[in-house]
Amino acid sequence: MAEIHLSAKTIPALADILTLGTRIVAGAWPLPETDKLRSLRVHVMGTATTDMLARAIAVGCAQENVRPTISQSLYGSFMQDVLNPASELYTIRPDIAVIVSEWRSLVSDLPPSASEEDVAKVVDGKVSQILSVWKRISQDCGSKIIHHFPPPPPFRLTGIAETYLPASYTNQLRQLVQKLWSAETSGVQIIDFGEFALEHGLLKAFTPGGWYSAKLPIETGALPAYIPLFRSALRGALNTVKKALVLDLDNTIWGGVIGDDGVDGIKIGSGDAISEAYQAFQQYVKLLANRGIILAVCSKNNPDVAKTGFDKPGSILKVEDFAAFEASWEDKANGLRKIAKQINIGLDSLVFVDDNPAECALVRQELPEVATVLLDGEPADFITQVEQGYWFQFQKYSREDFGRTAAYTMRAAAIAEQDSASDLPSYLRGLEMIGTAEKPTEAQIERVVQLGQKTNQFNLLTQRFDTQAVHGFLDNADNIVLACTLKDKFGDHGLVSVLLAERKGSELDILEWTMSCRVFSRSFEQFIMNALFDLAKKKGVEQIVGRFKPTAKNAVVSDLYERLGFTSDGEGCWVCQVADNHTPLQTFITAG
Amino acid sequence: MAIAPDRIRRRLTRVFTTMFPGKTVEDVPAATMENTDGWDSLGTLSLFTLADEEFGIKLGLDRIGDVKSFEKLEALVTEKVG
Repeated sequence: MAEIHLSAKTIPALADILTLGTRIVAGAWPLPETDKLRSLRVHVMGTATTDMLARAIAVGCAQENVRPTISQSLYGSFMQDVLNPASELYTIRPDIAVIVSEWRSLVSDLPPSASEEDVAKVVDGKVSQILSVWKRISQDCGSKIIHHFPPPPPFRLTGIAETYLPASYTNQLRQLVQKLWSAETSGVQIIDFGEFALEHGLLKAFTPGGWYSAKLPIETGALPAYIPLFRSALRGALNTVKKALVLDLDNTIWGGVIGDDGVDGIKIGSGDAISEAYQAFQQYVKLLANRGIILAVCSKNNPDVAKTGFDKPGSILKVEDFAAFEASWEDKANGLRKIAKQINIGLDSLVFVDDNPAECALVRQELPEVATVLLDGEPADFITQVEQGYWFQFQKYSREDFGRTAAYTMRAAAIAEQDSASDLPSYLRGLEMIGTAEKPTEAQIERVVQLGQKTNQFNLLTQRFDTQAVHGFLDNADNIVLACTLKDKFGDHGLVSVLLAERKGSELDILEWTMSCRVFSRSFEQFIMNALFDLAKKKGVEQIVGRFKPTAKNAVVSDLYERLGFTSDGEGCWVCQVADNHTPLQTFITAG
Repeated sequence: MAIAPDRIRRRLTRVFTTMFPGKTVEDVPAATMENTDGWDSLGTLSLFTLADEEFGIKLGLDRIGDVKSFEKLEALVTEKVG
């Protein structure tokens, strides 16, 4: 069966959806059982029929190593199900609630003369209705939400006058999605079918006939292209987003082979269509990097020769843009393993791009968890070929996203230094690190929440507190929240660790502790623990208690409390007394 | 561009068994919604979509209600490609 390679297909075949998807929705599992599979309850509902969409969702889940149990609200009963606490929705308590809104349910018929204010009032009403639906589902079911918003209706009436008329359907929809996006929507993934329609054709992907005959929210023929978009939202909901783009060099980011053609022979820059297309692709990659995507090179080349390609005028990317540079004659699966280790992220966070079908096939075979993109044909189409996977889709940017690439490049520089330092303490001392561990300011709250949501490795309990929870926590002065920043001689890492502890009588209970992986093993955890002890002493706390809940990714902190001098009570808790003569833990970080 | 009836039969049978792998090739010509497990109106919609792709045609969704057997589906496809 061709299904064996389903996970490797960026865009599955329609037959996969209609056959495999149908069977998964029916409760069967027609794919191999693996220990990587995660079982989740997925409920699909909306103001359209969701049966066909549910099949695509099933396939998308399978591709993300999720074995879904899929349930659906009946057509037309979506709001009743949400509003009725006795409905099936609240019995199922889905892990993922998928909502599909059709445009007819979101717009109101307003007179063309309605003013902007009148329209805003109507739209605000819809916004608060949807926000309350989200709140209800997420609070009462604990579900992550993926909400699909529709493209505008397939008619323009009088053209641009209509587009910008406040009362037009198009304008109402645009305002609605923008207002929802601006609202506090932590945990809600918005899928904008309006953008999808621009990419795949409104009249092809969303036909009126499909609506009238079967109330389809999207044409069945467009479901294969939709699946990668759904998968990106699912990754967002599950915190398994792609973080790094790993690029081949020859015939990928420039035309020709640097080892054969030399710097002068490779095609990049201006002057001919091929060189311009490669330059545009580099510009695209650079824009991704500016938005926080980490870049790496994995190429079969002599490293010294390979690097000269970036010196060519016209090359937009420079060697410094890459957090890892693997150029060797080893196979690429090994190269990718080294890159993941060097950047300190999981292989499943990598997107690998290469023009060589054999290399791509090898990586798919050896490392199925790496998303592999085969560039095929004209370099002018490379951007589209990467984009159609929707690999990097954020709901929002944070300030930290913009600095991340630089931070990882800094980390790579620090590792290079570590290799040359004779011993760890002298290396750490040489980093000239300055840290802080203080109560977060209001401006830092967004980052505090984001760190908890995104961090998978140094995350002791993986609680994923949202903004509301953190605020609630801070409201009690007995609790302790530490937002910890770190800088070193290579640069400022920003807010990279968060610790939340709750006061319970004479005890201080650490409810969550997360740290960005780029600052592991630098004695920052000791620094933070010392700060916590100082605060605990001031508050008259007698003992500090911590716990660890294992996940697939947080083994790195399984012995953290032991390393920090805590003792096990034998029942899953780690305890440390706060004595007056407590000796601070050794750290190489100075308080800033 | 006419396609020979036996080729239509062969290709459409392949489409049908992709969707309903429980049916053997021999059983397909006599398949109906009643004697085929899992064939509901969405099954018909799926068959239409797969047949559209296979033959490069567009089967109108208004005919979904008429097609309750392989025979009817074959007649409809033949009419379109004929």
